[in-house]
Amino acid sequence: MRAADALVKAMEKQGVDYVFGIPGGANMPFYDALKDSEIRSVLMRHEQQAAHAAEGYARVKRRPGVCSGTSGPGATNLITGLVDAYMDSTPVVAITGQVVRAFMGTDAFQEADIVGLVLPHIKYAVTVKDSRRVVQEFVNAYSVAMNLRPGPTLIDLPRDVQIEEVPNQIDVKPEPQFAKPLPEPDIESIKQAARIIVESEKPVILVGGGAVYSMAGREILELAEHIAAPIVETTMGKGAVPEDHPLVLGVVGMHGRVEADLAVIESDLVVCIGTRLSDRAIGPAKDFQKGRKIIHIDIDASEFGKNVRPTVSLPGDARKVLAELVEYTKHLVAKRPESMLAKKLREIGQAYDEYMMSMDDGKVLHSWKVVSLLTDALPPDTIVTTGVGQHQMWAQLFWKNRAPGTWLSSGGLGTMGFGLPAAFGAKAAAPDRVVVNLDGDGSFLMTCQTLACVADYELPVITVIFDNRSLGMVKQWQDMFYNKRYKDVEYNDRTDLVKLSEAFGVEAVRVESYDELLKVVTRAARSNTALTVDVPVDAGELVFPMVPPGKWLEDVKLPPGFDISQRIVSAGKIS
Amino acid sequence: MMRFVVFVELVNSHDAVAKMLLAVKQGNLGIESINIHSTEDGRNLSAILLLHGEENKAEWLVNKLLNFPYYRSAKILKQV
Repeated sequence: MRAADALVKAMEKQGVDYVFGIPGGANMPFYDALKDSEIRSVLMRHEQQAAHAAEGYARVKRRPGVCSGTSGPGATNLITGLVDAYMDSTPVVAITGQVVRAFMGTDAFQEADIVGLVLPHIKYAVTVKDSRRVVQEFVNAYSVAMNLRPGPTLIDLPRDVQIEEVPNQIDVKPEPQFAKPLPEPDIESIKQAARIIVESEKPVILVGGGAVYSMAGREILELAEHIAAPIVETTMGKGAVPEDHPLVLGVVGMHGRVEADLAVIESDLVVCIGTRLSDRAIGPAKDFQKGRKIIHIDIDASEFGKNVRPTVSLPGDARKVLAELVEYTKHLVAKRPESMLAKKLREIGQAYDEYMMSMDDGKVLHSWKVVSLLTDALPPDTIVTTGVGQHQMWAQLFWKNRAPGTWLSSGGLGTMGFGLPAAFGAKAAAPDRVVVNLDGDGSFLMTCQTLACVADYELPVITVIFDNRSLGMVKQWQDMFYNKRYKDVEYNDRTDLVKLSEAFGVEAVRVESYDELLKVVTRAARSNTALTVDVPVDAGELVFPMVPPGKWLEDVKLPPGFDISQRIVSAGKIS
Repeated sequence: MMRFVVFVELVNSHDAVAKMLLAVKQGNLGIESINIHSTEDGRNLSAILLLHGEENKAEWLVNKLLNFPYYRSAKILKQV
């Protein structure tokens, strides 16, 4: 059989059921082999969207999403999605076509060194020049995408390699370098960490994306409840634990919940779980480290000390490490009563919610209220995706995730346009669940052609566009840091988003009230139909809280007029 | 600022060498010398890197490389 046929058979054996991509000259043999396969290939409208769809699929299905593009531009168009997957530790396997071996290095038509281009941002990439290695390299790439810290991989197949005859290859296993065992928890370090936890008076647990991937929610709650510690999340950690739990204070950082930021400010210990501790989440590392101990749990040892020097580092899978840590902590200390700090912080959070709702004068639609109403109206296992910008921040502030893997956002790279294709991939992975893409008009316009796939493949996604006719977050920065000198951030009104969606075959409506919004969205959710909702939100909205870039969490800017000085835990800590 | 000697065993491919140097770049490490030789009938390479940079970066580099299947081993031989 051809190497391409052997590859597709190996993919079937691994359980691949979707390939998101676009055929072209150099990956045609691969597509020809797919023609005789049960694998569903989805004809995307741009390869970037194929990569994001694979990400959405992977994060819901908890196994690699597969995407494909031809050589040259087909491959280079995948790059944004692959870098996004790398930053957010998402397992994606990209299969690219390459020009025939004899033409490689000659600047042939549609030739690009895709392996060289993606190398800084990929776990593994290889051009397979020996047809007998095609299956082995795919199995390796598929395995290593999930092994230890997940991430993207790429196999690049010259067209002539794909059509060479190879023997049937059955039961191919990954080579040892591509399937390393999980490190066992280091018991001595865990004992040390347990002692630090017991000594701390105001511990806080910070959960990141690694906690989601490891499904460590139960162990995190067990630890938090035992030591009465509030839980805060990074953008990627949202959903690791149910956000309606009383100890869960929400997202921390630049656009975090005020009560979450305060929890970290007040803490004397932060137990960091599966997070790379980016500046966006914790502000400057020197301030984060000052006056508090840090326990850092991560599958990737290179994260220890990269940004923050931990007091104790615990390498390993978050769930396994936490299970041990909980046991040792329970041996050392009895269950603590509910902390007054956590109670006060929750009250501050409620005060923020109430204040924001009081700002609704009924004249314009407000983003935070849209998110808040939708999170209450939709089923608890709804999968929500976002674009990038102000709407994403409103979503992370007000959307309550109640199950892991229900929050898909571009946390690391911050890729506008992520939301719709990721939602499409998520719907392919979970066709029986409601999938809602909360998008900005700027983000939506970057990848809106995915609507064609939503219609073609009958994978109905609901898109809610927070339409402020601008690049809202950039405008907010120009407002706050560039003396309101707005430049290239405002759109005209000519692009009719309703007509645009309808042109792709997806029903669309522009709503004028919250009631109308809820009516159309809940109807689409109940009937499992695709819908695009254009929501004209207040174009002057600024997202608060906001910690200015480079500043510590104490410097958070609260919504103008929101005074919590009487309720704040430590007076004078917030401006 | 510190100086490090790092030893890396890697598969013999351009990509493995390129990615190692890209990791050195990501760590903002300065290069004083890099020596690379083929071993085991050309299937693998061994590299000795003399680098300088922030105190914790050598450990970061070693751990970072071990995340990727190109690298069979990586260790710090000396830090001054």
